Amino acid sequence: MLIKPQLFFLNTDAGKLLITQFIPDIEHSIRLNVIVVPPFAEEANKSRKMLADFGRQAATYNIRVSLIDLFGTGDSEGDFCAASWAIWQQNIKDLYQELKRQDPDVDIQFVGLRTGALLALDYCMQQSQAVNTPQSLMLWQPVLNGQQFITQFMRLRLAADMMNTQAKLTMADLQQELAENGSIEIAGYNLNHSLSEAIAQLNLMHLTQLPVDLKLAWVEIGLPPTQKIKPISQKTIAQWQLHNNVSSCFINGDSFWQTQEITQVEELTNFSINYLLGSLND
Amino acid sequence: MLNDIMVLLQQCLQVDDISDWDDTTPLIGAIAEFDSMAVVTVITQLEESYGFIIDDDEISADVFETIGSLTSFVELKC
Repeated sequence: MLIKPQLFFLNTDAGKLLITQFIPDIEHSIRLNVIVVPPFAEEANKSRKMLADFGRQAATYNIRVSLIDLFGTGDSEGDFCAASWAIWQQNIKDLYQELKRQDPDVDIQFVGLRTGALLALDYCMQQSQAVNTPQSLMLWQPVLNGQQFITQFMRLRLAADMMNTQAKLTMADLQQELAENGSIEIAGYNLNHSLSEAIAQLNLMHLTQLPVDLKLAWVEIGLPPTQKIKPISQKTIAQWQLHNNVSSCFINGDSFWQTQEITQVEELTNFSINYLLGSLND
Repeated sequence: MLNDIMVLLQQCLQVDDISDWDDTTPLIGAIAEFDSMAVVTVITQLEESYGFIIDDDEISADVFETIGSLTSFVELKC
């Protein structure tokens, strides 16, 4: 039985946010709510199918999945150039509270992809009240180093300029433009300075004290010859394992958030559903 | 090395058949999939696979002219 997505707009102080939900057939059978926090810019477009497939499959196991279009992205209100890390955190909180209002007795867990994993984890760190945070968080191919991520994103502009013009821009030129103009256009996205700074400041390796009792699953995806989680990730996981329950898994598959063709990784869906259902029985 | 680079390119660009590729095969402007996003993906994959850092000043059209020029670049970096 194919589960169709149901769309609604969540009214928030930041404007209307599009929420795409995959809801189990019999609504009162919902065992778990999952909020999926999407990745950044073009990665969000590339991942849309994978995230929808995950939602559709998970719903058949009585998990209600909510995909959120963050402020200024997808079909939500706002301009990308006005987006901020704080607004995105508030977007998650607004959705969290809405789901709690709808199903007070159903647990909510997060799945974050790439920078979405950073955002979801940072959200958990910032909330002072446990009532607004999930007990469990899945990190799908998390971005470890925000600074490196922003550099890689800005490289898109360098690469485009390299291919289209004779002008030889450098990273320093782009940084200067971003600082002076307050924003810079990269691959069709108008990145503002404060959002870029907020992401650049985040580094998972520097997070040593995670919220008490937060349970995490760290998942990386890759093709041979890569066969296991990156050494730098393993180091971070080992550090976190001193105080938290952190599991990890490597899954063989395409890097669907960046591949040329839209792809998906079925094993990631299956693994994640098992993990989420398993966490309910703890 | 040439073969490793071809496999890496094949994975990044998701091209099925690379039997006609060799070191003279042109990249930029010749392979349709080779857009700016692909360039960045290839750079990131090279850094992760070989453990070196590519300085942004090193990203030039010359490097990505052919599979051979890209391979020479990687050989110099290793």
